Amino acid sequence: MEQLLNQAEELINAGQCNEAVELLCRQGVPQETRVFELIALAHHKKDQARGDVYSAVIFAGRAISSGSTNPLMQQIIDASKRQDKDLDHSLAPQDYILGGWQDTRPVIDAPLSSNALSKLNGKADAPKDFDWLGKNIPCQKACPASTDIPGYLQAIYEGRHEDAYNINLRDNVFPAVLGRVCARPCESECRHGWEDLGDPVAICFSKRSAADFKGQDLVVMDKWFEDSGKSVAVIGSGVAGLAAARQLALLGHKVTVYEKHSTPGGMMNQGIPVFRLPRDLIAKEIEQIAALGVEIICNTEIGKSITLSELTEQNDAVVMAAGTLRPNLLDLPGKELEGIRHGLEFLLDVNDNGTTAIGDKVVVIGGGFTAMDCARTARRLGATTVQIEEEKADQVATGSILRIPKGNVGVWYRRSVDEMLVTPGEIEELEHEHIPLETMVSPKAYVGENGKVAAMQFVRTELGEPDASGRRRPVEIKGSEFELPVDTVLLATGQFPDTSWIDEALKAELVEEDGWLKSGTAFSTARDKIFAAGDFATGASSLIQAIGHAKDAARAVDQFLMGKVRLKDFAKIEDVTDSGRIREMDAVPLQKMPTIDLEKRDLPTEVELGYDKDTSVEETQRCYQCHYKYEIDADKCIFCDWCVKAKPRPDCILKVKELKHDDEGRIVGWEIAEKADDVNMIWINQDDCIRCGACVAACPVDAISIQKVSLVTEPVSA
Amino acid sequence: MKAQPDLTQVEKDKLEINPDFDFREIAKRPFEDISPNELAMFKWSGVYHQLQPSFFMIRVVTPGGRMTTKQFNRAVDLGEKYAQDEMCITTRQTLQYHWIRKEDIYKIIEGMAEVGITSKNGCGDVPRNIIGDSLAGAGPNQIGDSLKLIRWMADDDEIQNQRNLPRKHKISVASSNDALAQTLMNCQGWVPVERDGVVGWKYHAGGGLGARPYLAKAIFDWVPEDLVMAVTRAAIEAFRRHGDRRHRAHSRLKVVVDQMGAKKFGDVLIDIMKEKNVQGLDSIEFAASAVPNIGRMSINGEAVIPQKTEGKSIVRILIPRSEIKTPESRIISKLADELGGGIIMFTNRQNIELHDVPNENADKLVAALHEAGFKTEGHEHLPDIVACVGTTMCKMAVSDSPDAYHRLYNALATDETYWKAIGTLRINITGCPNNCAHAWVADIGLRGTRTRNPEGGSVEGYSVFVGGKLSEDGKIAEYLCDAATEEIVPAVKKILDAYLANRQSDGELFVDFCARIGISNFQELVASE
Ligand SMILES: Cc1cc2nc3c(=O)[nH]c(=O)nc-3n(C[C@H](O)[C@H](O)[C@H](O)COP(=O)(O)OP(=O)(O)OC[C@H]3O[C@@H](n4cnc5c(N)ncnc54)[C@H](O)[C@@H]3O)c2cc1C
Ligand code: SF4
Ligand code: SF4
Ligand code: SF4
Repeated sequence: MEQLLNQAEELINAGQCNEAVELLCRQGVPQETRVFELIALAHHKKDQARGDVYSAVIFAGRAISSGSTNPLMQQIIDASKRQDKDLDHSLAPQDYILGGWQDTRPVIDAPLSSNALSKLNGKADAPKDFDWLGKNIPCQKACPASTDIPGYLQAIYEGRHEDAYNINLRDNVFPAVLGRVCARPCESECRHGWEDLGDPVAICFSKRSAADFKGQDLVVMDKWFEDSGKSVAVIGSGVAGLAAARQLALLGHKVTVYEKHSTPGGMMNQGIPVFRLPRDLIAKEIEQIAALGVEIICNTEIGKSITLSELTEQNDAVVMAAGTLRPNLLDLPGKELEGIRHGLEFLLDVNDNGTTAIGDKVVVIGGGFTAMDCARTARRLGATTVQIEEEKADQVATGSILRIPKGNVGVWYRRSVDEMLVTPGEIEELEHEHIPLETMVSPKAYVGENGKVAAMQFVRTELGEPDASGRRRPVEIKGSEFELPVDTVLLATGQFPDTSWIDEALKAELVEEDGWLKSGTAFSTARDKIFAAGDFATGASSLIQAIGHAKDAARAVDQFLMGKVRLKDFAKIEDVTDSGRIREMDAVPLQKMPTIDLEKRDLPTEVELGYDKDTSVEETQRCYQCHYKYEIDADKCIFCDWCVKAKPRPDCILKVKELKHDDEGRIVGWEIAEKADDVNMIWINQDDCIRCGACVAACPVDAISIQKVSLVTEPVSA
Repeated sequence: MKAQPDLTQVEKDKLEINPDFDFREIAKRPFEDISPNELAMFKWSGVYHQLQPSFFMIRVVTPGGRMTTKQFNRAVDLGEKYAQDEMCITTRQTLQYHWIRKEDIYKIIEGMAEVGITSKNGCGDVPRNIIGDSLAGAGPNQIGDSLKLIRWMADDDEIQNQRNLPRKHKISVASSNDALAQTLMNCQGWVPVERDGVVGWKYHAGGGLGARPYLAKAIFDWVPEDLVMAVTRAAIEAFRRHGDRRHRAHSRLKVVVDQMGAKKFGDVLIDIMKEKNVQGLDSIEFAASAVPNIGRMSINGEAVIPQKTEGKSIVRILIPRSEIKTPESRIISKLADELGGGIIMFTNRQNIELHDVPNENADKLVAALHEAGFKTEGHEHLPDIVACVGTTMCKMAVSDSPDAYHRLYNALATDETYWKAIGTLRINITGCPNNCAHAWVADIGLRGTRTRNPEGGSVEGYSVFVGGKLSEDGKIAEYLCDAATEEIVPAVKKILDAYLANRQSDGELFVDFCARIGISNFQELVASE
């Protein structure tokens, strides 16, 4: 017994008060003076809440009545008594402004620095408002075109595919295209994919369903402004050129797009294969831009038909959106051999002519979009029936990849799979289409025979320090060289902006010696009338990156043309009473994209089938709808903690002593309160909130409001 | 396919976990091996895990609030041995122990079972202890034998084995049309009616407090006594069918009745009884009006009340803060045996009454009680404050209601002239919105809160509600103001002084004063410096 008492005392001294009491109780009902004293002491030490004070008092009392002479016992009892204070003010009802979900919030500045946004309702545009949007709607933040993702996922969930399409159209210009081939930076940031929360929402597949199930009519958007009388020429009709053109048209300018190719669309048409992106979709979405009065002139190469200088003369502004058409060719021994092609040129050939000559043993060098497309295209171009069995033969399409020997097309990449910049799921598709992928190998030389390439020499690599792109640099392993017999090499080793068409008069001002723009990724150049957009400015990236860049570039052009800012971003705040979600939606599994069987996979047939309508609803209900904001009114709240008891996330509701702010009023951190009296606020940390509504259901006094906060861009009148 | 609502965790637990735990086995099982879900289901046996992690609370079931001294003595013995020498009287007329070790739970349960008292259905989503008025079986205005009905219900397997209701279910049976039985705040409330010498029962349903209070509606004006059980069972069945199991805050019968309305709810009950082939339903009379009309409280501060039965009296004892320690309990029990009728009645204001005291002993009994330090004066007046355990032991609480109790009691109840001048006044202090101490229906109800201090931290306090009542058609108290705990005494004094200075006459009760001047005028009165 003595030993146990000492042990308990040690625990108390070590701050393990609950453990000490548990130990003391293990011996039997607390009945002895010393046990009473120690239980009193343990609770006295813990002292986090009134319950501890009370237990200390109860057991101190028990100790005294059983003969304790320890003076601390009486002290504990005396110290617990609270002192009455005089009432030196009037008695008033509690005062609050933000209120709960049943209350209506006024359109006023937020009264407290702890409020999530700078305003309680309406439109807000303080740094903390945009900071909130960025942190809370991570998918939208990750989207270079700031697509209102929760907005359109909600529309699909509610069966409003048309609305979902229009939201996308407004934000990213090419919904049907992007719904198939977007690089999806949003999905890797999606809250649903955060630790312990499962898989990200299939944002891209859902976008496709919006396009698939909307009506078939062209959508012609309303313009923001009347005709400005200004004219803008855009060079290049890739996504960047067309997105800039559309935005400028909506702003009221007269836009002409010049394209050297016979069809508009840039890499959508010239690079991406038909089996990933049907051409009628591209045509239709371009038609919607033309319908706004944008004139698209094809077969017109700037620098040849007309110079940049002339174009600049004839227009109020020029946007260069010429993409990255200069191939990066590997400077290896044997580079002049026949059978070595750049992937871009190869794909363009196939896209323009429906086929091209190709050998039996094809190796694709590279690990990006182009490499994947080269390999999958080459796989579809090979010789006929080899591996399919007789009885199956008639079910297999004439050009199906099943008629082609597997293993004859392969992708060889110098870094690891993690470093590959491809659309999610594409590596799985490679495997599915029997295309071997060999990573950590670097090409060293082409080996020729009779002027034709016969083999490729590689060296094995390992990953070293990260390079400028943040990806780890491959380092060659000495002595690991080997040869691979090939007859065709497709180089998907990158492409750069081609600036050779810029006439001499401007070249010195605009272009560096290495061929890149002097202005870097900026929208404006040394010439105030000349702007740059998309990959031409940023270097090879992705469709959505180019679109986002071009949208911003268009705003810069407009500001230049009109001499003022005419579009403004806001956080739009609206009261709602319910998110419409139920918790069970969180548990719905990620919906798979159905694809066609290998037998049917040939050059022109689209591989992905798209969700059916029900599946699109099934998938989109998974979205947490991060645009909802749950916020506690710190003055209406009675600090009951019930929401804290109901919360599903470790940190979504915090008992804070203090919030920390930066100079701009953004909430940048907090200190958790240890004792009940130190709790200054029960505060929702929306960053960790999964918008489940459990807190609202638990709150007995309706102190938690629900609001929808969306990023809106609006014309500023006058 | 849109995701379909699934059962909530509580609902799954109710289906998957047998609520009749073997507490001998639990005694041996390490605490870590008891899942939180099981721990929550302990409640079905009246066992609550206390705020202090090593201890439990046990609530027994005392139908109608009555115990014999034999039963009470056993309760006291167990409290002395296992519960730190103390018991608590609850607002549902029963006893509660605190500070029980996990290892001793079964000892209390088995010990009480030996004297015919169970803790089954002490808490949880079940029909709770069936209550009535403390005058049951004795009061001078008795019309119906409420104790008989309560017994029927407490012994009815069909009712007592309802272990998976959407939420807790509360039934009250009154012995006369008297607000004392709290008819309007129970899920089901029976009030006796006499017609031509025949006793039948008026039926109310849909009352309940909690965070969102509702007052009961009158459903049937007349139910013959032999159909009372059928109606009670049908109401539980209706609750099972229509209670919203998904939203616990809206799952009680009060919400079902509120949404259906009195007439429809009555129809539903009749239909269920028809399904069950209950005969004689034609004799049930629907309520002419859903608005209830409960008689005002028939007692007002008396220490001794003559019983209906010739020669017997009720002697009433005020129990401070509902807590009784072993020595005091033994005195009460001894006096109940020696001078009373061996019957102990717990009241819903957490006090004790001794019933069946021979008239000739009444004065002697009162004197003996006074000598032992008990008070018998102040019932239904300021000293008769009801308070829950608040933050001292409850996980849901915001404020330390016992502390507020003691300060108010010590400051105001000691001034007899003052509280007598005020007259009838019920102050109820509840630590959180759950309203265990019924602040919604008190003259002055204090509900725990905390207020943010702009300078840092927060301050414990109370939201003050006034003018609640359970008589006539009832009234939920209205929000008057907030007051910090440390200012609670001057704040309540200010409210009472405003009443004293502005009431129409000495006879205008606090509750009538509130109704007459209206809440905004009252707010203005207390807002003045
Ligand atoms: C094979 C391949 C597959 C890809 N797959 C994907 C994918 O799945 N997902 C994804 O997000 N991204 C993908 N990308 C990247 C994406 O296509 C580009 O990032 C995007 O197209 C860049 O758009 P842009 O408008 O800036 O340039 P481009 O689309 O390249 O458009 C530039 C246009 O300018 C025209 N032009 C150039 N010079 C002149 C001139 N002097 N006069 C007139 N016209 C001129 C060109 O003909 C072309 O039409 C892929 C790229 C390639 C090459
Ligand atoms: S859950 Fe929805 S709104 Fe939130 S990040 Fe994912 S897609 Fe965006
Ligand atoms: S809605 Fe409320 S309970 Fe749910 S995750 Fe957000 S803060 Fe937590
Ligand atoms: S549940 Fe309680 S602590 Fe949470 S917001 Fe409501 S009042 Fe405040």
